[in-house]
Amino acid sequence: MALLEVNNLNVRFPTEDGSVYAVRDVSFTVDSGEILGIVGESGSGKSVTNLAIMGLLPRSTSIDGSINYDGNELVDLPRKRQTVFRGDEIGMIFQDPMTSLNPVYTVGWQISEAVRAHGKVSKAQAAARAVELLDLVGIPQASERVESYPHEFSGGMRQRVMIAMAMANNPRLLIADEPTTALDVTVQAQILETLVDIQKRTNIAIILITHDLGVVAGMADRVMVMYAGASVELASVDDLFYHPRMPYTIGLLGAIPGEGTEGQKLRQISGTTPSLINMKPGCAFCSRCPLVIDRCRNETPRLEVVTGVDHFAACHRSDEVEGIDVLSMFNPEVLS
Amino acid sequence: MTTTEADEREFSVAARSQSRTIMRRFRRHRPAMISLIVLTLLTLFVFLFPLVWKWPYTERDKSALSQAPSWNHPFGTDGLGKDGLGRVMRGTQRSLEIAIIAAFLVTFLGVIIGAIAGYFRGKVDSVLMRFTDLVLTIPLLIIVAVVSVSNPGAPWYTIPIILGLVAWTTLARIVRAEFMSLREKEFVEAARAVGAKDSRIIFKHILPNVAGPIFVAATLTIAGTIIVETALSFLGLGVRAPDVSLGFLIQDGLSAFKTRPWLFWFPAAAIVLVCLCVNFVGDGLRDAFDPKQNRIKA
Amino acid sequence: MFRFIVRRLFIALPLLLAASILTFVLVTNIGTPKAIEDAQAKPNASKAQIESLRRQFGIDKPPVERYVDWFSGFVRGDWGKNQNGVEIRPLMWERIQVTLRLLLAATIFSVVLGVLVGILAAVRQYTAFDYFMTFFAFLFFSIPAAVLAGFLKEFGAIQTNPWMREPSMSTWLMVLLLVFGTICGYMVMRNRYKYDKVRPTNKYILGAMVGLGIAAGFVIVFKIGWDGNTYRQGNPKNIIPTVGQTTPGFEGEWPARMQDYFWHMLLPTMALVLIGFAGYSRYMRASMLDVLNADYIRTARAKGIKESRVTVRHGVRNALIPLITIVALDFGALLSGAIITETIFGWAGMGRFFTDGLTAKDPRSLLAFVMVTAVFVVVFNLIADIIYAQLDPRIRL
Repeated sequence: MALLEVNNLNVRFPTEDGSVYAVRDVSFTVDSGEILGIVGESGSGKSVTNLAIMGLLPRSTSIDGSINYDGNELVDLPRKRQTVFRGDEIGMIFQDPMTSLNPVYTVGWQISEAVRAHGKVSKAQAAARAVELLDLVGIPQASERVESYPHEFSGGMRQRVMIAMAMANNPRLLIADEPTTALDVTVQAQILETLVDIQKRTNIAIILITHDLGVVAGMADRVMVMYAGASVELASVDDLFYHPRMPYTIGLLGAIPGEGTEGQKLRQISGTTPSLINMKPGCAFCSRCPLVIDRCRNETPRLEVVTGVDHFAACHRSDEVEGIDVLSMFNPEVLS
Repeated sequence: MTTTEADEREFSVAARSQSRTIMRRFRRHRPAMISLIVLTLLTLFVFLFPLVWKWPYTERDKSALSQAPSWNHPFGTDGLGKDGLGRVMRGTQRSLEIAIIAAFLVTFLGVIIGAIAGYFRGKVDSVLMRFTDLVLTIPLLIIVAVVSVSNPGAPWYTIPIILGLVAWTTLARIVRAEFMSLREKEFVEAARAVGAKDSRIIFKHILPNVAGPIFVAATLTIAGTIIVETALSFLGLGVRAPDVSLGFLIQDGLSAFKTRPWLFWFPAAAIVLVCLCVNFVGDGLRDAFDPKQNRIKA
Repeated sequence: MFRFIVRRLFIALPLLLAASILTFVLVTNIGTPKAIEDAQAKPNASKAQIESLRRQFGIDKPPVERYVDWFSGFVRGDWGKNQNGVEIRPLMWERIQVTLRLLLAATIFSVVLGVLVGILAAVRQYTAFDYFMTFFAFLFFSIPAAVLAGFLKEFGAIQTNPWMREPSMSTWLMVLLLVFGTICGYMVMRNRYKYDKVRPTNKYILGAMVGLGIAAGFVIVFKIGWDGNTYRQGNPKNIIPTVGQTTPGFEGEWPARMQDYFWHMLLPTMALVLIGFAGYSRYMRASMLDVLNADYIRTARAKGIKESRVTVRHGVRNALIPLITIVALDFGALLSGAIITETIFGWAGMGRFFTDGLTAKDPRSLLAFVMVTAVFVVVFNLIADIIYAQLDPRIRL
């Protein structure tokens, strides 16, 4: 059985302008030791999905569906019970390391706090563990740096501290929400290396959220593509990159400038993402999709297996996509 | 793919200018809207009604001395027969005038000093900040009280002028902080690259972004001035007879409280009402200008 | 730290010097002292008399000389005599003690109350409690100190003292309290479970019962305790005084004197606290809201810490920092409020010192008063900076 099983997850926020359907009928699984990449634009629902797993959404949010971790149902779990999983079995790191650490406590204190929150550990033991963890993530002179404050670290180092903190209680699942977006490219590589290293050592499962397809290509085992709150494609990384089955994915991949495209205009998907408020039925991508047919506008496509392969796509025409040169149908001349 | 369908599905981005967004957010803040309406009605009333009301604030009705509120004198009369309603209206007028003049002066000085200190930094900033510190060493009420004593016969508008000259410090600090952070932003660099002069950058580029705190501070200064003026009048140093302000009426009313409580309650209610409304409007402005406002109940 | 203090003193001393000059200019501009004016108004005013009065007040010399005279005396501790020939320094020391009592009590209570209410309002944003407290804060913001003090004097003492002598609770009041308790209990429970998918009606009833129980307990305690209170039997005096900071000529043991202080301080402190707490609660609420929306709060929650710990250890700890500065810088406003309140309640403190000096237009007392105030302001600023640096490790001393 998979370590994490998400089924038909729906997350709705009540706002003054109406209900925002941030996550619509999303399903996926994560196995032990697997790295799942979740890609999508801003607003695609990738962060909200994972915040829902962690139980970090505001109380007024309405969550439906099932999030099953190791046999435990996490949706509608009383808040007090949630802390059993949060920080202990499942760790999470966030995007901006500059603001994600409390500025008034030392790094060691904050890591110890994570340790002591989940077990009867003495202060000394927790402090020792903090040094151990800093070492694990590659911070030099860990025993001295443990007394430093967050503002005394650089961005990359702070992100390592975050990773150390998330790993404090040996979680079996780590959710990394755009961990490298706010960092320099060289530092990005280091952080990703650190994650890979940890993964090899502890066989932890990782959900890596990013909008950078390159990161996913390098690290992930499987990839899920999200668009407008829904999951539109789910496959192994090779399968996704070489045989995408959903026009949106094709558009995304085609938009990456790469070899052989020098001198050509950048391709883009014309149009913009739809509003998530009071959504209409039908595929969210239909207004921008070159393969659109009437059925797309009326019937919301579900994430279904593409005949013959271990590959899920939410597109009514996913069976036909292989044969069509969809990419050229995204007209590069059109600027919306 | 027809355009109408596309429009339907896509994000309707109605071009909403920033000021309209702000006004929309302000309208959503109910206490502020109610207060604004009340305030407007009140101001219109106190400035227009005296034109038709039969008892001007200086006239003595010898037939009705120290009378409790009645149809003839809805707010009662004082020992000399002066009509309560007329006095309260006049007092409110005066207090509002004082408050608005003071607010203007405070805003003007605070913005100029804060902007220059925050934008030019260095020595200019140091000097201005030391100067601000100096003004801050003596509490507001005390400075104004002392100056008031020195000029016993001075006309009423000296009060807001003095207040304005010493009360700009908080606003100056806020404006300075904003300028110091905004001047590092790219749009300033861009403006400079196009050759814009400092004054232009300050006024046309940075200042509009600081509009929020400035408006809020100006509004709150109005309420604050009314309160300080009350304290001054209490010490006998505010507006002098025969002119009246709300503070003056309170002071008068306090001494007659046991026997003629109406002389206290009506001006007190007027002050509290005006200040409350002004404060709510200020709060509404603060919320309206704050982009981080999210009314999702957490 | 030591270097920090030294550096700040380096700035503070010239500042105080400049303040002394400013003060001097302000005060000397107030014109002729009243005593001299009175003397001049008399028909048989002799020149010699006026001259000697002018010498007494020290205004016979040119301004610069006067300043030097005064300032050199001031730093040596010789502050001169006031308009009645009383030595200023000991007099002011007496007065300061009185006012300091009031200021200290007012600050402590208004900060504690303001912080608590602010935290609760922020954590329970947009609830009935929040709106209620917001309204109260705005209300007290909008009441001038004079009005509030006068109001308290009237309704806190003059009207309630007869009641205090013969305390009783009418049936109406009892019923009102019980209903209030029930409703509060119900609302608290409703708020806690408002996002649950199923409304736990039994919890609501539990809440209502608890509220009712607490209110009933209160009523019972009152009936048993207060009604037959011997304190008021044989004590026909007013319990809550309205004039003065102590009962004149009060001799007695320390506990009794403390009680005396307490009753006299009750109303004036309440006046200052109500206004102060209004401001602090709003500020704390805003600060808490800012902090609670910060990323590191989300991180703290992600670590699986109890929500209460997140709110206190992470939220409050950060939200308090800017408040310290506000409290320290508020000294001037607090003093102004105290001046008004002292006058209304007839206290013999700094307020009276100031108003006496103003009425008499006595330059020496006013100079001493303003300088002492300035020193306090500068000292409090320094303390605020030190505390701020201690609380926020990002600030390097």
